[in-house]
Amino acid sequence: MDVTVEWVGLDNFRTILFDKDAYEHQLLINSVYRNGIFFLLNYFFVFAFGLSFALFMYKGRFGQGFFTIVYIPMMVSGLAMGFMATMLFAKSSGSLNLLLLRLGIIKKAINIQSDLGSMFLLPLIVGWQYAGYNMGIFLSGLYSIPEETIEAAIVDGANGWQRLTRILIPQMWPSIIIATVMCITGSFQIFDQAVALGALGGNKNVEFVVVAFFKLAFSARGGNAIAKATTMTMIVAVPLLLISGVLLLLQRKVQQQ
Amino acid sequence: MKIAPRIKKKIISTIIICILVVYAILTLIPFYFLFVRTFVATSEMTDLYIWIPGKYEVSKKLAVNSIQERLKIEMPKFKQRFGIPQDDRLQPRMTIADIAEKYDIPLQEMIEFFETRYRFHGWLFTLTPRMVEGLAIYRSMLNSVIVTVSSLVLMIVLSILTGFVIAGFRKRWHFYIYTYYLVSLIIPPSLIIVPKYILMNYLHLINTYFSIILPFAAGSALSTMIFTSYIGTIPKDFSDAVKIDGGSRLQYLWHVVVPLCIIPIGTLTVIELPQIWNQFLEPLLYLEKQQLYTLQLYLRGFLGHNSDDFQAFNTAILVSIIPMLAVYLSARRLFVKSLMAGAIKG
Repeated sequence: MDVTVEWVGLDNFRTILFDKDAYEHQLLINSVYRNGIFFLLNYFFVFAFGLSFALFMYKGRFGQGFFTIVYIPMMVSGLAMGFMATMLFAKSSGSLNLLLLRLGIIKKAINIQSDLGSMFLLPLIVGWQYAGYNMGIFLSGLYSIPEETIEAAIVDGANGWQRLTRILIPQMWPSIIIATVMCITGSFQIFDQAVALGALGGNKNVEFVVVAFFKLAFSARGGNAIAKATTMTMIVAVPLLLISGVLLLLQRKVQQQ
Repeated sequence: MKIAPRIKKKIISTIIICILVVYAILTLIPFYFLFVRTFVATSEMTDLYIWIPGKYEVSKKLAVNSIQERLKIEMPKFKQRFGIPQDDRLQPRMTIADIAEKYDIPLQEMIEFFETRYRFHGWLFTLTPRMVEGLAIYRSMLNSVIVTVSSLVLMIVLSILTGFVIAGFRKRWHFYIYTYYLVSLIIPPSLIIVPKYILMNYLHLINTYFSIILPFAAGSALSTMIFTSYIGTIPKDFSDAVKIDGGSRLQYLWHVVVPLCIIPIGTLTVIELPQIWNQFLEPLLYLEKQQLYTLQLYLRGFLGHNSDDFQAFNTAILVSIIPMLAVYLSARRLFVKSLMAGAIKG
């Protein structure tokens, strides 16, 4: 690995951020865009899975069995999970594709390696994988709400929905912030699943941010590629770091109230 | 329509139970399909199989070259099984009908042999010590075990020591160390992959397991937080008792603190074990020699080397999932409890 250093001032930043023709610039823009969409959809699933299950499990005792099952996908490696996703959703041979086609639920097979396919399926799969994790975060937030607050609300005549929106969710702000920070950090780390979908083999639809860094820094492009890759990581990661930091400080403040 | 509150509650409960049951079933379906597909021959890939398929239909026109390509049968063993002299070469275009005729073997026997071979090809192929890039699946599992166990043990040992010193934050610098670990929680790992690689390169740790073990051994935010807070809850009476009995700080650590820390050790193991075992990016970067490949790297290499054999590949995926699943299911109480507790800390 060539680590000779050549001082070029802010040139790398300039090329990557502003030079529209540069390969690195397009790589950055595309991967950040793709990863951003992934994050938004993933964030949706964090709540769709995590919050819903936390609320369900909070309300009653549904047994150890469900907990055990929810956490199973988390034990699977990202790579194996991505491969399982292709097994399920490959264009002509995916099991779920064939099943859904047979049942008439869909007309055309979902191709996980296409742009739309990977855009919607991948957040779903990752969200499913971390459903247990997010559920845990929200559950712990729920458990930290004092019983008296809820009982007072019941006494005051609040119905289920009001209890949910006016009492539970506002009191869960610290957990919501933590789940958000974890989602932000995690979404921009997605790599294993992307590789399983062919990211290192030329599938441009799954070129997320870390895949882009990896390809730039560790492929034989020569010519200052490592420096450019490091610049790219800074451009992407530093804002993320700042956002996470701000959110966590906010969480401290909210928790102290 | 006004429904009595008690009935309303029951209805909501039932709906919730239905949703959870449906989700549980849906969660298990991918694994079920993976299992079924290990028995589906690659040539049947585009057919939907909901149950484990029955006999594969073998036509008597099945040619030797197909057998070699698809089933990767070892010829010497095959010849031995059917009493064909080892020196006789079997022409690629020869069908099994031809072979049966030439060597006086009942055709039915050959057909049955292949029917089962095709069904179990995935398992037979993946589990025999097959060299993928010079490495068999068992070796890669062993590599994973070595890396995971060493990382975990070192992490626990060093984090207990850290927690032991800084619990209670009696000095200013205790707090700084704690904050240092805390901050690492929000640093995106992608920010440091390149500098880390350069560092590992400089330290000549590329292609050794140390490149993976040492960062884990240094302790993560989670490990430090767990032990610091847990040891902080140990009442001072314990250390006073040891002091009165004339024991040293070290004896206090070894005889009192460590035994008391069984629970956080369990929690940490449960959270970190899957993370280390399932790691892909770092081993991909640091391990270039194929003998050192961990299970995940092996899995990826498997696809590269057998890209036309999806039955075997699905089996390899399943086999790579099994160790972690087995550990999880056998200790599931501990896992679930610890993952919940971990979320609370996080």
